[in-house]
Formats: sequence, structure tokens, C-alpha cells
Amino acid sequence: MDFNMNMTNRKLGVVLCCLMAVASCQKESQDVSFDNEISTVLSDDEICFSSMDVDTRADVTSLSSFNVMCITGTMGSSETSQFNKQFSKSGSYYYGSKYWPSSDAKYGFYASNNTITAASNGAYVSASNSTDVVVAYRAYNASDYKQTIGLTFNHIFAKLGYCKVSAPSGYSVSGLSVKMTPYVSGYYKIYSGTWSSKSAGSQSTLTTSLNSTASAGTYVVPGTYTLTLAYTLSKDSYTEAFSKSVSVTLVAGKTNNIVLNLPDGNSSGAPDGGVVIDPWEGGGNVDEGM
Amino acid sequence: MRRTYIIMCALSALVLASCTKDLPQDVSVSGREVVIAVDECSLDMSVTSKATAVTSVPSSLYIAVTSGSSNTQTSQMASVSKSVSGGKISTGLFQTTTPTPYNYYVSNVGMTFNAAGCTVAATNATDVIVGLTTASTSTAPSVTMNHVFARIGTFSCSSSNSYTLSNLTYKIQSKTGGGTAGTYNLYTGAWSGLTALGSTTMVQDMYLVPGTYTVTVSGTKSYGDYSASFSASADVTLVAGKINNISASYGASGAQEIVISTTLNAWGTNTITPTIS
Repeated sequence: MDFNMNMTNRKLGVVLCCLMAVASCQKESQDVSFDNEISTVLSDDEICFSSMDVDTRADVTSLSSFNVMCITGTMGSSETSQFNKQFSKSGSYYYGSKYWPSSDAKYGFYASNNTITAASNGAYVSASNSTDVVVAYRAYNASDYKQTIGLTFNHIFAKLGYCKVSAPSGYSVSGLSVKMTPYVSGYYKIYSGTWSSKSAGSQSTLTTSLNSTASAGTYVVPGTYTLTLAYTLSKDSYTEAFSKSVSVTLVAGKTNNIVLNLPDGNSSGAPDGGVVIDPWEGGGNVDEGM
Repeated sequence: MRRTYIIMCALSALVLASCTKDLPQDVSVSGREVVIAVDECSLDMSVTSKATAVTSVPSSLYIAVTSGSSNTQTSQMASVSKSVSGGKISTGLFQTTTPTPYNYYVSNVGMTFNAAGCTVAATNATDVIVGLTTASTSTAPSVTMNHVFARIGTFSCSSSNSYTLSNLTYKIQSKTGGGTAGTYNLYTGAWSGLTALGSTTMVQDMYLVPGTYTVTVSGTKSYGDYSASFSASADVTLVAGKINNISASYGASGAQEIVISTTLNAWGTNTITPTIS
């Protein structure tokens, strides 16, 4: 009987030890997740988009006046400015008190809601993203002489729309930030459509929220940019922080909406149920000498 | 009686002497003297006075007399200056009862005999006037005088369209038959040996050989805020003996304003879905 009591006590002791071990393991797992958690702290000089801040600059949707530069020569390569004058709307058309010469002088035209600067290799505007700059041009055409000149204006900047980040299935996302550093100003040659002397703005945070479709509405110089992503994926006991980059090409005259689908993490799945302890195997008696 | 005879002879001599003095025409005894009456009416008395303009019959004129016609004339009197009194010139020539047809040349400058007609060397520094009566048998022929040069009067240039013209300058130069000097044949009215006029700033009251000239007007044309320089030329024919007023008109078509129509392309949408790896 003492042996049996001893065996029972041993079993209980083993069970208790195991339970204690399991309890201690669970505590340590929680401590590990807290130590690795990544949180994004927004500094004061960051530009916040999505729901945190919305740009209120006005899109150009109509023109009451604009600047017109008239040139002779080969547009885009050897130009000579003839006049640079504001044209204003009267009725359906725009007038600047400028008159055709008595014979065809082979005029070409530039127009913009921004100041146009003459250059022999192509007139340009100095543009910053505080204004929705629109430009137009029409190279010399003999049929234009003493006719109404039709100009088609286009926006030279790209516009940032929303940045919508989706979590991978089954994972939760924390500490999300998507950032980019855009070009915000430069010189734009109207005929060739090329930018030069671009200046970068501050690094901007496009979003810190999942599934946000709030549009930023800011103007940036079109082109290819690198987005930097930071986020933490969690699934059950799995937690992992990620830092990634991706290229996006922003198109002029378009509101550019970015959709980011985060890839799966490296979780392999949690074990089912709790700890299983093999039962004592039934065995022979243990003889003890008396 | 002898004394009386001598006295009578002396008196007769005095009478003859006095007759000779009082009636020089009669000294020629061949006939009556030709006295030329100069007609003033051909002179433009209303012209704006210029330093050398001839506005009345001068106090003396040159006369020359020939006989014959066309290019077979014979000199009867070489060019000589004669005083003009009361509009008349005493020639010193006389016609007989069977008068000879004479050609009477008159000018304010000396003339040169030429079988084809007397000529004057005329330069536009002088308002040269000439007159000619041909084949006259009269002892009181009348000669009408005319200016050989053309005279520039007023000149202006206006716009035939909406342009305003300013800063205008005028140039003139010979084209056909014009010039500043030459030899003028009073009989034929023809000029020869002309000195052409190069491009010269046109001045009111300048004298030029009659003919065709090119006038060039240059300046600035403006309309509203638009302005540009221009230069345009036209031919003019200057007429002898006339004050030629020139009125030019510039611009065949109206000024047309540059008009612009616009299309503004609206903001479009571009969705970017990059793959994150």
C-alpha cells in the first residue's frame, strides 16, 4: 500500500510539474510578443494623409484667363518669343489685344495658368505643387493664320489619391506605415513635356490605416517613386515585423490610387488543444524487502 | 541870210538827232521792233512761297530767237538777258513788211542754241521757267511761261484699316524719267542727261524733274496693345508746273485680333497595384 501511495504521489507530482511547466511557457510567449512589437510614432514634421490630414488645394476645372507666349522658329529647338501676354475670357473665347501681322509670320503658341519663361530650346514653366498647373501648346500650322487658335490644356502634375492597404487573410496588422518622398517642384518644358531641376519635398506618410480610401489630393511631380512599408503581422502566437519597398509610377493628369495587398506572413499554425501527457503505463509490482 | 541858213541847218540837224534818240526803233529802218509780251497767267501765284520759287514775272529774262522748225533751226539771236518792263521785253529785232516766222524762246536762265531747239541746263536749286512761241510773224508775240520742274506739295499716309500709324518717315527716289537736274529742250519739252535721285528724305516744296518716282513710307503701326514696324512703297508720277500733293494709304486688309478657344482635360484616375514581395 505504501508503494501504491508513493506511485500515486509520484504521478501527481509529475502532473503538477508538467502543468507548472506549461504555465511558465505560456507566460514566456506573451513576454516575447511584447518585446518584438513595433509601433509607429508619427513625428511632428511628417505629412499625414488618409484620415489624419486632407489637402485642400483646388483643382483647375476652368480658366478665366491664362498667359500666352507667341513664338516663331522651330518649337522646342530654336524659338524666338514674339510676345508674352495674358489672354482673358470674353464670351466663349479668349482675347489679349494681340493682332495677326499682315502676312503669315508662322506663329506658334504656348499657354499656361502659370508664368511662361522663354527659352530658345523650348519655353517652360517653373512649377510648384501649391498650384494645379495646366499648360497647352500649338506648333505653327499654316492653316492657323488669322483663324481661331484651339488650345488643349493638360495638368502637368500627378495627384496622390488613396493608399489602400489590405491585410493577408487570417492575419492582423499593426504598426502600419506607408511612406514616400515625392518631388514637389521643378521646371517643366511645355513642348517636350519633360521635367528638370526637380526638388524633393519632405517624406510623407501615405497611410497608417488598413483599407483606407481617403484621398490625399496633393500634387506631385509625375514619375516612379519608391514606397517604404512597415507593418507587423500577427496570427495566434505568431508575430513578425516587416519592412518592404515597392515602386509605383504616378501619371500626370491622373489621380493615382495605390492598392497594396500585404503578402502572407511566415506563420505555420498553432498546435491543437492543450499539452498531452502520456499516461503511466501499467507495469509490474515492485518488490520491496521487509 | 547866210546866218539864217546856218541856223536852219543846225536846227534841222538837231531835229534829226532828236528823232534818232526818241525813236530808236526807227533807227533800224527795216521795220517794227518785236516786243514780247510775257503772259503771267501760267505762273502759279498761289503756291506756298519758297526761297527760290518764281511767283511773278522776273525783272529780266533771257531771250533767244531762232528761225526754222524741228531740228533745222537757225539762230537769229543768241540767248541774252533782257529787262522786262510792264510785262514786255524789247527784243531789238524788227520785222519787215514781209515778216519772217521766228521762234521766240524765253527763260529765267540762260539758253543754249540747238538746231533741234534751244535748251536750258536746269537744276532743282532753281525754279526754272521757260516759254516759247513758234513760227511767229507778229511784232507783239505773246509767250506763256511755265515751270519745268514738278514741285512736292504736302504728303501724308493714312491707314485703310484699323491700324494707327505713327513715327512716319518718307523717302523718294527716281524710277522712270525723274531726277534732280538735266537738260530741258524748250522746243520739244523733252529732258535729257538727267541726274537721277537716289533714296532721299522727301521734303515739301522740293523741285524734281517730272516723271515717275517711288515713295516709301516707314513707321509704326499699332492696334490696341499690338505694335510693329512697317515699310511700304508705291509709285507716284510728278507733273511739271504742279504742286504735287501726295496722299498715301497703307494696309489692304483690316487688322485681325488673335482669338483662342480652349479645351481643359479633366483629372482622370489611375489605379496602381504593385506586387509586394
